[in-house]
Amino acid sequence: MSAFLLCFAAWTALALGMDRHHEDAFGTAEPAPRRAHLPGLKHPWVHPAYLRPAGWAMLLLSLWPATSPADGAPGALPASINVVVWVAALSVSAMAVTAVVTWQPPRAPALATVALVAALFAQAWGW
Amino acid sequence: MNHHMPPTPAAAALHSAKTPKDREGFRQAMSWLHTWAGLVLGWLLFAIFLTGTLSFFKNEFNLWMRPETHGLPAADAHVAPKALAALLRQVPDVTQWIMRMPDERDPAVTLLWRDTGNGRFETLRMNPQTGDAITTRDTMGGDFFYRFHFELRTAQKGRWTLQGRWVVGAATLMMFIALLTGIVTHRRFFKDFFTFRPNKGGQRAWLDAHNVSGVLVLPFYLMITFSGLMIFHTLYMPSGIATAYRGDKGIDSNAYFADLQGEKPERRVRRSPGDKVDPLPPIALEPIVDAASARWHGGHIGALQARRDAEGRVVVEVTRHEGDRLQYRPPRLLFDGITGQWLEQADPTSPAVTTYGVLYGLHLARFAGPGMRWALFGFGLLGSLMIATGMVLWTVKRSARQQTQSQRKGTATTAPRAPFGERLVGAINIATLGGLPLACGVYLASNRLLPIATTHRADTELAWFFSAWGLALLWGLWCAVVRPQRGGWSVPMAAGALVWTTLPVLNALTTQAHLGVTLPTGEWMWAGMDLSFLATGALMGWLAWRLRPGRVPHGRKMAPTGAQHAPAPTHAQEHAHPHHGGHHGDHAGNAAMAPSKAMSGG
Repeated sequence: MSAFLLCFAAWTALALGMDRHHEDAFGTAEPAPRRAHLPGLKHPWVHPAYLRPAGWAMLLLSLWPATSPADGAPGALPASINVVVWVAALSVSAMAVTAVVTWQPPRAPALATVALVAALFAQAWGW
Repeated sequence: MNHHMPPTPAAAALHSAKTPKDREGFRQAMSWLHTWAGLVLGWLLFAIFLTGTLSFFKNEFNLWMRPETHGLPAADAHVAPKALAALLRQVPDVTQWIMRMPDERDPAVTLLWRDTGNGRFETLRMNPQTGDAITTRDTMGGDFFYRFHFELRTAQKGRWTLQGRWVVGAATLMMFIALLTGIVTHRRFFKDFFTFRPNKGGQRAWLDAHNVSGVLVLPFYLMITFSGLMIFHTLYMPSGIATAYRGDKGIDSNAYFADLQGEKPERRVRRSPGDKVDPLPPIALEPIVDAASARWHGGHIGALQARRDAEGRVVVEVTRHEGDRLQYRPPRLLFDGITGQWLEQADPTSPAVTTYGVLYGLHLARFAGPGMRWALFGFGLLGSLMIATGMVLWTVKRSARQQTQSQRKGTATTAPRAPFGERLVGAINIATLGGLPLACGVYLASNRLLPIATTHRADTELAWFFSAWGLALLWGLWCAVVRPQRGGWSVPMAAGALVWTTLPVLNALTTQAHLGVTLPTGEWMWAGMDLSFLATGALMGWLAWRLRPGRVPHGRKMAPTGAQHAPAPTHAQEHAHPHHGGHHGDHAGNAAMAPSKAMSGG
């Protein structure tokens, strides 16, 4: 579950790092060059130059719980199955992000933020 | 040929300019291969993919189609000895049995047994508490989808199954080729990663749908196609065994399979049907089950079986439950049936066998819990949609090209009749993409409608399935080839919608396992089937509505233009709307994108 949420946030960041989807979501055309207008920018933290690495980082991060060895708890699945579940979560969340940027692009940033927070909670509670 | 040219600057420039062009040529060649590899066996692939997707819920279909298994009590710890005692009451001279233990997906004990005649295995389903036999209706259940998926099975007992596996193998290879060439052909693989523009209409929307459904779930497609090929490697590529397992008496493929399963070849019995076999002595199962659980540190037990090995010794084999690991063919423990002593563990660990087991396991997905199973089911549906959009795209592209050509000639007012091949493709598209879901619904309906006492009931159900499919083909041919008209799509879709939505009603009228019972008691396995049928019906109804003839989408001033093979008018959209006002255009949109929208919606 946390893998799905984290992947969702990651894919959204990567999508919003693309010109087309960035424009759809924020309504601003070509983003200003980094640094030059940083304070004046409407959404300084969602600059594609930040979003893309953040997205990749979150994708990598989402793999971590899957690969960490099972702690012998009853019902714990072996890492091989966890990684397969992770790959599935990767695809499902990418489909979800595609649906969001297709039909609800302005909501994408908010949804991704909620997903990120929820992912942290889900991870904390071991979902 | 540049070798013969003098190395002038002009030639060097030409040479360097050639590289991207070559790449383009390669891409074009791959594009050609993608189109034709996809088209030739595309319909078969769609059928294989869709029935394979349904097979992820094979157990659930098996139960739904045998409503007599509804309402069984949960098993307790002593289920194995109880079931064996019940079997011996019925068949005292049993010589071999395989007992599948109840689990979350199947509450009954399933026993396969044979007696001294050493004939075919007989099947016996039992109540896990009382050991009473459950007499079920004669049906193939979900096994039909499963068998059709990999060997195009058309009858319960099976005919031409080996040939069927070869055909499926050829189709799978085509699929693999189409996937790989598709990656090469897709020019903007990363740039269009999340791009889906249903409002652009026509070819654009179809291509987007094809690309998005292809790219985002690509790991699944590559895995399922490659592992599908590998499962039958012994059939498709027998020379490896022929080389490595050459014995004194020719090729010993039996030894290969023993190695594959981690067994000692001498334990494998070779008997011909009709051989006399001694009945099994009484076996104390309880201590064996306890010993196996202890050895696996509480791992679940999937199945038990007892037989005589080649030396006549009574052996009990305990198989671990398949949900416990990714790899197919779970480990098995062998016990002596008389003394109850542990003999050995059969679990091959060589890298090759493990790789094969993982691929096999990934394909069958027996490891998957409910969430993962639904995800895989969704991926399978998306794969079917990817194939479907590809097939439709072929006709859409052609008719668009034709339209531009005739516009150039100034004859755009009267749409010309499409060439025969194109109409044929359109017809088979209707028959497969619309007809197969209809046929699946009819198959399920026949399970409830046919009298229980019908002779050859299971085969009659299949006859219903294939008749419905055949009718859809006739309808497609009529609508697209003989007398081109619109509406070819909406009729099978509407019929399918009717059948699927009627299924829960039929279920309520003929059984005690309907929604009125299963919803209040929270039996989600049973209720989930009926609810999914309703959802399928609703989806097909929505599609039929979107594709109904004479529907002119919003914002389109185009008059309907004669013969159509694609579900809706698609061409000239680009000319009519060079800019559609961003991506937030009208959502009522264009009928052509209906299936692609449904993809993301469903």
